[in-house]
Amino acid sequence: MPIEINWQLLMPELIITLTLLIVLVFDLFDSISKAILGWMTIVGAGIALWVSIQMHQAGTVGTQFNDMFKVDNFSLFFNIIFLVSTILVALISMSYLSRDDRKQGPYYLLILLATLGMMLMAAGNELIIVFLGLELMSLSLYVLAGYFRDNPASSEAGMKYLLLGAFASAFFLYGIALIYGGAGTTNVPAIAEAITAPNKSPLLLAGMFLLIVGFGFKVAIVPFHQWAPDVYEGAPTTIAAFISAGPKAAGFAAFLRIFMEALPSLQVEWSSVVIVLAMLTMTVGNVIAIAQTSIKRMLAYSSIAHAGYVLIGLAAANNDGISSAMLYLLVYCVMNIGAFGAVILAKTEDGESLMISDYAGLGLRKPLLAMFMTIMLLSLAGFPPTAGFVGKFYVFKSAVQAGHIWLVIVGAINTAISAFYYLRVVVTMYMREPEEELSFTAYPSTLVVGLVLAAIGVLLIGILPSLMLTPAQNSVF
Amino acid sequence: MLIDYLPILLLGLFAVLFAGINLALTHILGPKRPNRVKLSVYESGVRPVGDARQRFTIRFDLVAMLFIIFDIEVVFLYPWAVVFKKFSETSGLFILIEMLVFIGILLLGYIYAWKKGGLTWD
Amino acid sequence: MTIELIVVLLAAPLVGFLINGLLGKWLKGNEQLSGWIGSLAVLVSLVCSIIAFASLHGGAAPFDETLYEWITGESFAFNIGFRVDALTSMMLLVITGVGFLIHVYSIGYMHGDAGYTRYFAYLNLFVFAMLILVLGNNYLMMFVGWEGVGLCSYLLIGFWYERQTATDAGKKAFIVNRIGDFGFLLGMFTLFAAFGTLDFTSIFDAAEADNFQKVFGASTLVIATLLLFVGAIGKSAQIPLYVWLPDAMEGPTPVSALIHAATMVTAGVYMIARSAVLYNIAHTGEVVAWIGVLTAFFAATIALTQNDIKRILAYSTVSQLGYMFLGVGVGAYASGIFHLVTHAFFKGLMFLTAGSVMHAMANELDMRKMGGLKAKMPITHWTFLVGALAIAGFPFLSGFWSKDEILHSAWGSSPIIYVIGLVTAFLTAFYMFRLIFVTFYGESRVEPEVASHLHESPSVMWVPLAILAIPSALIGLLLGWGGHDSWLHHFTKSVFPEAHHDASGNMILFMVISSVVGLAGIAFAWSRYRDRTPSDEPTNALHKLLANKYYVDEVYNALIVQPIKNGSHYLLWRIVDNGIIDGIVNGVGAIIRFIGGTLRRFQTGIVQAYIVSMVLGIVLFLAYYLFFT
Repeated sequence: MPIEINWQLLMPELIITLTLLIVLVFDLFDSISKAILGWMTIVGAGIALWVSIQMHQAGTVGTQFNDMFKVDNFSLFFNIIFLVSTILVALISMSYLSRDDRKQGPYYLLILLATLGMMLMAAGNELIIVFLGLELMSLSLYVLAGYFRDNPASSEAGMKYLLLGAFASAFFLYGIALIYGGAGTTNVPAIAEAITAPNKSPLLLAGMFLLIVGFGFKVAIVPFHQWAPDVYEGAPTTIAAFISAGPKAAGFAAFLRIFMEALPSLQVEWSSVVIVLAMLTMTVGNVIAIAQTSIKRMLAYSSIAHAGYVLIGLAAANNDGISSAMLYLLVYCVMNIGAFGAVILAKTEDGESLMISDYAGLGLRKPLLAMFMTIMLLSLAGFPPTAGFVGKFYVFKSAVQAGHIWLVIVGAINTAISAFYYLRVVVTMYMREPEEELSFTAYPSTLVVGLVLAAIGVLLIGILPSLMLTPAQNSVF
Repeated sequence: MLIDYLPILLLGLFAVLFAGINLALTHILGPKRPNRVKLSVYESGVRPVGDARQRFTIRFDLVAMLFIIFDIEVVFLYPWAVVFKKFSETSGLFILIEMLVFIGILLLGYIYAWKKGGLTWD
Repeated sequence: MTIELIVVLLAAPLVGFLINGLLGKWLKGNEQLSGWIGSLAVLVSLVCSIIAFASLHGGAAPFDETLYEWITGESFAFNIGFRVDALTSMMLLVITGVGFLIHVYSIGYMHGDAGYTRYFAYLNLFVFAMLILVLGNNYLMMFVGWEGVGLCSYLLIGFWYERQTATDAGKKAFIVNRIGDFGFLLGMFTLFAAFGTLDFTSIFDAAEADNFQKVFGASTLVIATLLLFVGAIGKSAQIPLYVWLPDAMEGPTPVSALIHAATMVTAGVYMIARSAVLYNIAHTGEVVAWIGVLTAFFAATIALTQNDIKRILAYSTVSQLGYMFLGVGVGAYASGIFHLVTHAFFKGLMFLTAGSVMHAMANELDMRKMGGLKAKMPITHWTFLVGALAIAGFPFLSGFWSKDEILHSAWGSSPIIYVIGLVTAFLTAFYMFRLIFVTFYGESRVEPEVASHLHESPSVMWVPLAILAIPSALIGLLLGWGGHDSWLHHFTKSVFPEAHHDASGNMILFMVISSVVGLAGIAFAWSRYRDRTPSDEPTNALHKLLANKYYVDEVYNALIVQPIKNGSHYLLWRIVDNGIIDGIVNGVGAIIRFIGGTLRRFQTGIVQAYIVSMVLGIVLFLAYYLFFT
């Protein structure tokens, strides 16, 4: 029997694979300056991004490899999210790493591998492929989290992430097994066909719930979130930005596709749990974030809370819900990487400024940095005219349409709570006098470019939402 | 529906009870006359020296991992070889090249590991 | 007219702001460049405004187009859209025209200031916000612009933030404006609740439709228009919220000219003219007219006794804004806007000349320390004289035409209002020429070391003055010749509804009366201040009352600020805050701390503990699934 492969469908993934191999080969030669590897990553991801955008605009649809791999606007939109995150992270990483030349090769290699894993997850039309992508992504992230081997906090972060992640993967795999037991297949559309019968076997319910646990861990949903603050705090700041952005979006991509496409007939069962999880996640994330004194931990809890907002879109379980969740994820990735980037930029000669009190008086002494930070924090808090407002607005709107008024009320209260700790940083920057004179290092230009891009993105989507909203609406499966 | 799983529950219960009752019975009925030799870890084996919880070098893990990677490569070759004939009529060259690419990528990984000092044991 | 034109018109000052704001560090060495970039940005807008005006004048239909939808909900949509009709195009010309000249003037005026690029960044941002305000085709965009200009005003009043008085004045302006903005916001909500949209055309069409009266009744509109007027009172400094404007003179003088004379403070007048349809249906114009005429009179009396040049001009601005409200209040919308335009030119001119005097006098503002400046600063003197004659209603200069139209319409509405307005015209002429005689004529009282530096301003400053003097003198004649049958009235006919009160009486007679009154004011000032310095100490009770501005600041302080302070100290702080709120907060804090403590126990950092809690969660949820669903 002949084998036919539609190479065009696989273009973004192939480009990333190729980039990865090129980076690997170039890393073999010691005579080549390693700074070029970061630029290669950016160029490769940039080409893949351009191709993904073209394919998205053309509305490319198709499956590959016996229906295991599905390219549609949904997966392409997520490709855009992942690749934008990768490019931004690569930009903010360049100056962060340049002191230690030796380490750059594996770093970009792992980032590209993780990106490839995310793309597999978004395009997975088959639970096994999703799992494969998940593991490819996670294994790379475990290493990246512990990337600074001589830093105990970083090693600890990598170790914890590995142990807990392996545990969660086991649950995820168990869920797949149970679903296979209940439905007799692991193909996403085939599962949906198999469980149209009114008899909902407990095997399926248990399997479905274990999938929620698996995804819940990867995207840090309460009560499976505990790894997140420890890992974010210990991991290199650039990697904390990376983990909080792309992988979270990838987890939601598979989450959305499997639950909306494979398990729509169990919607009654899962949507009630998703609503409870969304409320729990938002509230716990935001309340604990208030108590934090470390900015990285605060951002970690804030990213937990943001996963809760995305869950609102899933709980709505309608087309608007999906598209608004996708828009929210895009916006969230850009603004969160921006916020972490600003943390990196706020570096003094004594090291990174990691405590919120370190930001006192920054508004006067480093106005540009304070401006970036303020834009990102306002966007995270959801103030107009930033992208964060647009994202929250459409997520809430979809939930109102679906009739989940209480969920929206809890979400709105949480938004108010979150404004407190985001604005506290702004107040610290502009209205507090610094306790001691700190000498800041110069601005690295690549980092500033990354931040400018993030700021432009946040403001542009805030002022012109349809720019990304319409593509998101065109991407619902 | 949940009732369908009752036999499994019963089986589990039976297994636990069977093992538990047997253990309890031997504990109650069996005579106990301990001595030093009997209490040692391996009654008729080598005399233990020191603690079993020793640190050993991480390189064992590295070699083990590398071994697994190439082991799996070989495992992948088997099914490929089995179905090769089925495809050889229509797209034999294609799947040959595909496998070569696969091996090539792994080879590249091998060279990378070698070059980065993953195989040296100093 | 195309949407591209509008976008360019709007984007130019924004680009200027971004360049000056973000790249200021690199421009610092070359401040001239920074200033010219700022001016060029406004020049681009000016050219676009002229094109837009020309196409409207050529008979093109008003432009009203949505650029894109910002946010859409189930039953509402907020659009980014622009409307350019006769009213908007007049405002555009004033904003960009006067704005451009003031930008150029500032290049010289701000020379050597440490915050040079920051200044031009703010000024460009202000122009951008002001353009949004007048270009928007819905109330939301107007509100965005409204808040934007408020912010820029705050930033520019407190521009020299090292000075305590400047930051205090900035804060005062901001807080007083918040009160007005709150009214605007409520008015907007009322309109949205009644109409379900904030688009001008939709609202006006619906309000004019008969069924609206049946469904909602006129009272909704009465409430909405009055609330909007509260916003206008705040922004345009009318009784009782005018107190911030005189203090706002702490900012750089070109800022006073642009923001606090020509453009921002007239936003309230523009808003009422824009909502003319609503005011006509709701019949709330009378309130507007009375507030306006009382403010005009009240502020003019205060101006009589002030000795600080900029303060006199500030009170004069409040007074003239009162005239504008009088105009739009009595339904003579075109006349109100006419006065807005003429006032923008001559008051802008006078502020700039005052700045020129300050520049020469080392920032001295007290006119008792001036005198005889005419000899040293001829251009400044002559241009100021043109502005003063215009505002005093000297025959055939611009103020004469616009003020006369307003007074004429007022007569048709209420003779009492007319009389108060006429008295105010007399007072205006008097205090303005008191300023002229004391400053530019008579003996020089300039301190010797200042006198040695006394000089005419550089050309970059006096050229804009000279250019501004021309429209200040002539624009009234151009736009207003023919009274109610003038070019302006024809041009704006499509925008404004028919007035309620038909103007009656002989137009020529009214002109003669007001000319005589104006000339009498000038003559009276000449007789009193030709060669006399204003006395230091007020001589009688009335004088004292006026010199202390009716003690309004003191009264506000005693009646509002102090009670609030005391109340907040004793009632709010001691009892409510320390007792109740702190109790609650501490209680909540204790609870959150308890929760946090409990939660923190889970966040031990020990992996085994995490796994145990995770498994517990899984077991609980699984149990729920298997046994309760």
